[in-house]
Amino acid sequence: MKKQKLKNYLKFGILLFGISSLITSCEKDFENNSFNTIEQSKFKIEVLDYKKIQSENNIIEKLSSLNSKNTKEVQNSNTSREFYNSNLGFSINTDFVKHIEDTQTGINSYSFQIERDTLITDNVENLLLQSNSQGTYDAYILEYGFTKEQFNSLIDGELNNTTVKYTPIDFDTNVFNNGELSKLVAEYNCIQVWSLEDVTNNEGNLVGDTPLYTEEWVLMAENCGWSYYDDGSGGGGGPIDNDSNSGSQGGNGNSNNTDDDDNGGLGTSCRGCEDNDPIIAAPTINPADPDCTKLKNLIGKPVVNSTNNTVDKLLSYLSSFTSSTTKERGYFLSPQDQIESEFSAAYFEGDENADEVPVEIGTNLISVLMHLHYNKETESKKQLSVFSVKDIYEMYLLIGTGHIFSPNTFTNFLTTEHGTNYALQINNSNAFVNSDFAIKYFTTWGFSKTIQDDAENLYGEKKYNILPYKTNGQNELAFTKFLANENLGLTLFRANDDFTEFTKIEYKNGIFKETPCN
Amino acid sequence: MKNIILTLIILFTLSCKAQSPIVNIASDYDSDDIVDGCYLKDVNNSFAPFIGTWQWTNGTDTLTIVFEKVTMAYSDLSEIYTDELVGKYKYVANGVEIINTLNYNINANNVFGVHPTYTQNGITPILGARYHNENYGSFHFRDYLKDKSEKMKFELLDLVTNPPLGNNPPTYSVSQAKLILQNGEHWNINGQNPRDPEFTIPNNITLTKQ
Repeated sequence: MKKQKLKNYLKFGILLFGISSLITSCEKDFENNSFNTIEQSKFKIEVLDYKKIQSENNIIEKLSSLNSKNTKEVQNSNTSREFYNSNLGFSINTDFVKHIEDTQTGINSYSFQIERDTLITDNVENLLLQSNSQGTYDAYILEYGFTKEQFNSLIDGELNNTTVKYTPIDFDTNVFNNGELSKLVAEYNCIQVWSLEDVTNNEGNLVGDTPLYTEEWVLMAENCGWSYYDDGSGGGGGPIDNDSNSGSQGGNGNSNNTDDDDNGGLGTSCRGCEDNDPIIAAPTINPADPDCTKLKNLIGKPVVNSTNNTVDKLLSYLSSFTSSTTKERGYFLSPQDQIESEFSAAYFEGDENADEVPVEIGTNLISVLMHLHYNKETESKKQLSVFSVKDIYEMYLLIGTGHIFSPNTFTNFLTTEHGTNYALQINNSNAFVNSDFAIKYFTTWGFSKTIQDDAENLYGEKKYNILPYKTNGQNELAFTKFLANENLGLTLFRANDDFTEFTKIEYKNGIFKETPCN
Repeated sequence: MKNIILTLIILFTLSCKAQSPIVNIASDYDSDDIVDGCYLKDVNNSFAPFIGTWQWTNGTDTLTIVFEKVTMAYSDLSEIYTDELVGKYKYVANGVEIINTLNYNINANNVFGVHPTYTQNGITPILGARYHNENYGSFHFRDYLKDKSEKMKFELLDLVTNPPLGNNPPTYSVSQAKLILQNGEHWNINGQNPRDPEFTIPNNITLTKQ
């Protein structure tokens, strides 16, 4: 009997413990659930690449009208990754595009980072294509009130203190041509609100620890319209009229404030805007240039057998000889492992005044080559301030003889007595070895000095004018033209004195372009 | 009818030729000016002061260089037409002929061709590259005995240009020129491409026009 009573107590105790455990764990679940619940944004933001944007016919048509009619290089505007306008002085790349859509209203926009020929601001600039009520897109340049670096280190709330400059543009009747903007008498203003939204993460495949949601800054700009300012000639200044899109249009004397629909059916330009819809935008900053990243990763890597124990220190050391040496010098670096995480260096030098670069590679594989161009003080300058055509041929030869560890990561450095430092990367080894120039000249180079002379003529005296007596700037420009025109698949960087900072330099769309590797 | 067809063919041929843009070879032209089929022409007769026989003598050593002009030669490689200032040379050391290329017949058809004996090198012993101004030219010097082709500068030291009289071209007088040979940068990977830094003919010398 007593035993039975004890059993009942035990049963009751277990029951109580079970119920209390259940309640406690349920409470925990509830707490956890409520903690993890994310109020999903009404905005849907996608990052689109070149392939995806190709299927957006409206956007491609609009971008095609951006392409300069007078661009030297013939581009197929329907397939090009890059759209360029020489009048506006910028290009946009379709490899990284942000598409934002308000899922409640259907309003959407596409943002492209603007790359200027000449840097006019450090602030982030985007080309924005914003949907309108006619089913087409209006174009704006948005200059955000922050730099790329500031944007990447933002903390909550900061953006509401920044100012966005809006420039409605009309690709076909270019506002810059008719001088509207250059007069600086009109400003396009909006009331703006920034919000940090939790949006579905659509970047990459959602595997492992990839978060389902990501935070994105969204700009909503409403009540946009032109504000007119006195141009200063009559004194006063300040706004004299604010022609918002919610109010009346036009009517400002000599201003060009009209609703333009003169762009050949490609959609209205929003130079006045009939739409009351807000502008929505997600700031777009292209990811770091992969060529720059590759180079910056390389220069800090260890060189295990040198007192100058990193690549940049070794380059800097080599560079210190350019003004004093009377012989060729250089190093080649061989990888110590399959991922080229560190290197061993081998030094080479030629005889005094022999202008010969003797390199005993043996069967070593090379990841990096570095050499100098010297000049004897007693002679007129004879070595170049940039790579010679022979330097480029040697890269071809080293690939052909299997001495390059990985052609697509190989880098050739040069330091010269002219005070110039460069890095030349192979970014497309197939393009390099199969280029018309390589096939025409490099395949038979070793058998014929007439071929070498003809290549030297083309490179130097008879076409590109890459010559010892030309200025560093002239040779640099000519060399980028050579790389571009001959489609060699090589990327050129200018380095600072100690090889710690690089600027990508290229000749693109008829323009010499410099992009610092920040 | 035949005549009409012939005339049309001639006109068509001439019109094709006329499409080749002419670039003054002695000007500071841009690479964009050099397009396939263009003609780098000695527009201002800049070659004239160089043309002729030049000689250097030191005891029993003699170097003779003869410059001539080849007109509108086409390069299959660079795909352009050029007027070329070409040179031939003969070197006698201690009374012994070391090399003599003066009898080479260089013309528009073979100026960029291969030497029949020294097959890695070109048949033109001295091939013009650029004429920086009236008195200074760059060349490729084919040193057959050293099996190399290097850079040569030929600078007219006392050039006097007489202005043109009437429709006649300007005349020149020059008597001395400096010859400078320079080895270019040369890669020698694993010892497979050695080069003798010396030249067969004397260097840094002053020649006199004959």
